[in-house]
Amino acid sequence: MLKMRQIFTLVATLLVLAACNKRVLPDVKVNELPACFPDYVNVTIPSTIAPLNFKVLADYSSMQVVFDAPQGGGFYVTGKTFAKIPPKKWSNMLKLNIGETIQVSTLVRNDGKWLEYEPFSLYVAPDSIDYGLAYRLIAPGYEVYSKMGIYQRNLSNYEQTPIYENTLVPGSCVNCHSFKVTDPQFMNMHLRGPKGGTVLLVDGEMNWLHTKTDQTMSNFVYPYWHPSGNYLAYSVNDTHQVFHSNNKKRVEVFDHKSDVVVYDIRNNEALLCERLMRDDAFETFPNFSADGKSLYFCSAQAQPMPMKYEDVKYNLCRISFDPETRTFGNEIDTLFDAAAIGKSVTFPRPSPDGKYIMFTLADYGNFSIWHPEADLYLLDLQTSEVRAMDEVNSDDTESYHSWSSNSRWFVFSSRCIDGLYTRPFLAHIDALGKVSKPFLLPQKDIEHYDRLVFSFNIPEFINAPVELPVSKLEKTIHSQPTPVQVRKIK
Amino acid sequence: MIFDREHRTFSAVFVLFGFFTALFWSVFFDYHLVEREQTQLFLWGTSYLKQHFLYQGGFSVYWGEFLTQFFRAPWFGAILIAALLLSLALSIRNVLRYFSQNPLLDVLSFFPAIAYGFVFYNSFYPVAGVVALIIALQIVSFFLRFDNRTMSLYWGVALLPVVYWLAGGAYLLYGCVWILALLIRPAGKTSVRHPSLLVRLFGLLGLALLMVAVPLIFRQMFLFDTAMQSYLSEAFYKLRFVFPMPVLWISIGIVVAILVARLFASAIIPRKSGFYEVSMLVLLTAFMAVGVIGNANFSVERELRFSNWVHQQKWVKIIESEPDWNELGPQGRVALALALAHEGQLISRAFELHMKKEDLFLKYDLKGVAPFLVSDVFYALGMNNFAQMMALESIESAPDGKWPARAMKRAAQTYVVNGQYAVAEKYLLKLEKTLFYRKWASETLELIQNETALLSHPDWAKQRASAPKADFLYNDAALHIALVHLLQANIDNRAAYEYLMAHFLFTLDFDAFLAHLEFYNHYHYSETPKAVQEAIAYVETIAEELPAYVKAIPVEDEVRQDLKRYANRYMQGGSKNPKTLKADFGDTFWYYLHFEANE
Repeated sequence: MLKMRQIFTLVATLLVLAACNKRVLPDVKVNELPACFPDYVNVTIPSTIAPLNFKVLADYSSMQVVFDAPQGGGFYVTGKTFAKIPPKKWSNMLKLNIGETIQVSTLVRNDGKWLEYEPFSLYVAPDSIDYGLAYRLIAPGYEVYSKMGIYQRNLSNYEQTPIYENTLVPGSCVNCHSFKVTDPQFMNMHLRGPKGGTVLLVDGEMNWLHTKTDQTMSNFVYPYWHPSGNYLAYSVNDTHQVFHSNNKKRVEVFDHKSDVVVYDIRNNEALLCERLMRDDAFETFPNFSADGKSLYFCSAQAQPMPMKYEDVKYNLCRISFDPETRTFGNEIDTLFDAAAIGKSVTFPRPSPDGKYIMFTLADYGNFSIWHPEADLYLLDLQTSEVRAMDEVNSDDTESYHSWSSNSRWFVFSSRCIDGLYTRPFLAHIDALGKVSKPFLLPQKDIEHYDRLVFSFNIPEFINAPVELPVSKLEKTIHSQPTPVQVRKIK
Repeated sequence: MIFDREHRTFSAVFVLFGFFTALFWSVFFDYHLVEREQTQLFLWGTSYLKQHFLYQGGFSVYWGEFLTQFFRAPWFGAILIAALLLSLALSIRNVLRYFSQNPLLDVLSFFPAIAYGFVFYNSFYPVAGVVALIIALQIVSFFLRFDNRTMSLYWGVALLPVVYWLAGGAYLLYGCVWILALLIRPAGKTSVRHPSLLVRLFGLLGLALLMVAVPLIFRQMFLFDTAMQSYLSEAFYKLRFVFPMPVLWISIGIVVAILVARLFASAIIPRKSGFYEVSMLVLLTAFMAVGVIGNANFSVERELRFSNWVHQQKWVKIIESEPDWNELGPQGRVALALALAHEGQLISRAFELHMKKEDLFLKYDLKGVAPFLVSDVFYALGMNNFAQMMALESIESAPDGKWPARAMKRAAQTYVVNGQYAVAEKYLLKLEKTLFYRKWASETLELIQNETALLSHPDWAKQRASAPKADFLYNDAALHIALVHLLQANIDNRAAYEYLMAHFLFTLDFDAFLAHLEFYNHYHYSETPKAVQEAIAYVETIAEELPAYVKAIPVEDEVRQDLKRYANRYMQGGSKNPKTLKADFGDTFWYYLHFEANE
C-alpha cells in the first residue's frame, strides 16, 4: 500500500514538473520591453558567446523565455528566479542563425497569471569574436592586496582559469597584462613587490626582466606591443595616490612625472628618446599604430603635484617610429587637443585594422577609472573626426577598453552597475563604425555580479588560452631577473 | 573503567587539561578568540562548501572556519578549543594503541596536543591545522584496526591522495604512521599477520613515492599554488610563504610519542607505575606551565581587548579599566586617547599620561596587515571615507585572503553612510549568509530601502552629520586638517575638538590653539581642563594681548602660582636636570613643552 502511494506521489511530481516545463500561453500581454539584469535587450552578440542567462527585474514566481530563431534551433526555457539557458541548445541556435535576428519573448508568472512582455531581439553578428578575455580581478583596496590575480575567461562558456594569482608571491601586486594583438604567445605582465619584475612571453618563451634602469624613473609600467612582436612601448611613471575625504570622490591617482620608452626585445634595450622624456611634459599610455610605424601616446604639460592635480590635461599625440632603424620622428603631432576643451585623454587604443583610436576622456588626470565623468570616445583616423560613443557611455565611469583581433568587437570596463565595481561589457562595431548596444559579460549564475567583490580590471581579448605553467612561472619569478640595458637614440 | 589503575593518569590529565584549556582561553585569552572570529567570514550554503572542496586541505579549512565562527562567544570558543585539543590527544592515543597496548603510555598523546595549544596562542595558526591532523590520524587508525594487514595497507596507501585532499599537509603524518606500521609489528596482536617483507618493501617504496608525488600530480592537474603550499595547504598557517615549523615539530612529536610508547610498552607495568604516573603528571604540568609562560602574549591580548572596546564604542569601560599607560601598546594607547576624547577628558589627562601626538591615531604605513582599529578610530571621529578606506585595507591585507567579518561589516556601514547602497548590498549579502551577522545584515538590507528610516538611525544619521562637507585629501602627517574639517561640518563633534586641541598642544601650535579656544564654551566643560589652564597661563607670559574669549576662560590662581614655581625651578638648574622637575611637574603641559615635546 505504501509502495503504491510512493509511486503515485512520484508520478504526480513528474506530471507537475512536466507541466511547469511546457510552453506557456500568456494571460496578459505587457506592452513594454522587460527590464532585465543583465540588460540583454536588443543587443548584438557573437555566434560563439556563452548563454546569456538573465532575470527580469520584477516580482514573479517563475519565468519562461522563448527563443524564436528564423533559421531554426529555437527553444524555450523555464526557470524560477532566472532563465538558465542550456548551453548546447543555445550554441546550436546561434550557429544556425549567424547574421539573423532572434526574437526573445519573456513571460513571468505573478499571482497565478502569466505576463508576456514585448519581445526583444538578439542580433547574431556575422563577425567572429576571439577565444576569450584576460582580466585582473582586484578588490577595491588601495595599497595592499592579499588576493588578486589575472584570469582568463573562455567567451563561449563560463570557464575562468588563473593565469597568475599573487598567492605565488604573497602580498605582491600583478598588473599590466598585455598581448600582441590578442596573441597569448606574446604577453607582458608586471609583478610588483620585493621580488618584482616583468614576465615577458615572446613566442611562448618566458623572459624575466628587471626593468628599472639608472636612466629611467621607474620600472616599466603601461605596455603596448609592436605588431611585429619585436618591441614593446612602455611608460615609466612616478605614480602616487591620495584619498578624498568627501563621499563623492574616493581616490586620486596621479603621476609626479612620467616618460615613454620603447623596449627592443631582441637586444634587451630600452630605447630612450628625449622627445618622449621631456621635463616639461608628462608622457604616458604609449601605443603603436596598426602598421607599427607610429607611436601614439598621451602628453600633458607638467604641473606641480599634487597641488595642481586637477590642472593636468593629457592630449593625444603621435610620433613616427621606424622599427627597422629604431629611430623616432622629429615632430610630435597632436591628434586630439583635449586640453583645449578642458579635458584629458587616457588609454588611447588603436584598432588593429588601423581605422580608429578609441580613448577615454575625463575632466583631468590619467587615472580615469576613478572619474565618474569618464567616457569612451572614438577618433576616426581617416577623417580625424572625434565622437563620444554615446551608444556605450553611461552616467558613471567607462574607462579601459580593448579591441578584438578583427576590430569588430571591443570590451570596456564600466562602473555603471553600482558605481564602484568595474564590470566588463562587450560591444560590436561594424565596418561603417556603427556601434551596437553593449552587453555585460555573461555569467552562469546571474547573482555572480551581485556577490562578486572584485573588479574586472584591464579586460583584454585573447585569441587562444594563455599557457603559463605554474611550476615554470614560480621557478622563473624566484630566479634573478635579467636587467634591461639602455640606449639613448635621437 | 576510565578511573581504573591503568587509565587513571590519562583520565586525570584529560579532565585537567580540558578544564585548564577552557578556563585559560575563556578568562585570559578571550579576545584572541574574538579576533579569530573577526578575521574570517564563514558563509552558510553549498557554494562556500564547494569552494573549499576545490583545493587541498580545503575540507579541514572549512570545518576549522565552521568552528571558529562560534568564537564570537569566547566562552564557547574556549570549550571548542579544549574539545579540539582533547580530540587530537584521543586521535593520537588511537594510533598509539596500535603500537603499544600499554594504557599507561596513552598519556604521551597529550604532549603534542598541549604543544598545539601553545601554537594556538598565535592567531596565524588556524583551527584548521588541528582539524587536519585529527582527520589524518582518525583515518589511519581506522585502517590500522583491520586484522588483514596487507589489505589495510593497500587501502591505506590508496587513500593517501584522499587524505591529502581532505587534510592537506597532514597527509605526511598519515604517511609516516603507515611507514611506522610497516616497520614495526603491531603490539599484542599475535593473531595479526604482519605483511611479508616484499609487501613491506613495496609498501615503503610506494608510500615514499606517493608522499612526494601526490602534491606534484595534483599541482600539475588542478592546483594553482606554490610548490611549498602544494605540500602544506593553507590549513596550517595564514601566511602562505612561511613554513609553520612548530606544526612540523608537533608532527615529529607524534611520531616520537609512538616510538617511545612502543619502546617502553613492556617497561611500565601497572603494579609499579606510581612513580611513572607522578613523574608524567609533573612533566606535563611543567610542560604546560613553561609553554604558557613562553608562548602566551598577554600584551597582544590587551591590545585586542582595547581594539574591541573601541569597536563597540565602550569609552567608559576603557577609561574605567584604568590601564597602565606605560604597559599599553599602540592600539591600547590610541583606544584610551579616543575614549578620553569621547568623554571630554583627553585634554585634561594627556600630559598626566605623557601622551604624544602619535597616540591620537594608529599609524598604518600601508604595509602588512591593517589593524581593524585604524578604521575604527576614523569612524568614531566621523571620518567616514577614511574609515572606509582603512576597512577595505583591512579586508585586502588579510594575510590569508579571507574576508574579515569585522572589516566587512564596517565597510558595509560606511557605504550605507555614504548612500552607496548598491555597494553596501554586496557586503550585506555576504554577511547575511553568516550565522551571527545575518540578523544585522537583513535589517540593514531592509533599512537601505527606506531613506527616511536611515535619516533617524542613531549611528548613521550621526555619521552623516559628522562627515566633512568640503573635499580634502588624506594626509596622515596632517590629520589635524581633517579634524578642522570635521568641526566645520559639525561643531558638536566633541571628540574631534578634544583631538584637535590635544594636537595643537602636542605640536606646540599656540596660535592655532588660541584660535580654536573661541569654540571652547560650546562644549560646556564643568571645569577648565588642567592642560588648557596651564597652556593659557604659559601663553599669558609670552603674549602681549590675548583675545577676550581666551581671557574669559577661568584659570585658577593655583595654576599661575605653579607656573611661577616651575619657572623658578627651571631657571635654577631644572632646565639642565629635568629629573628634579619631574616629580612635581612631570604631569604638566610645561614639562612636556620643555622636555618631552622634542623627544
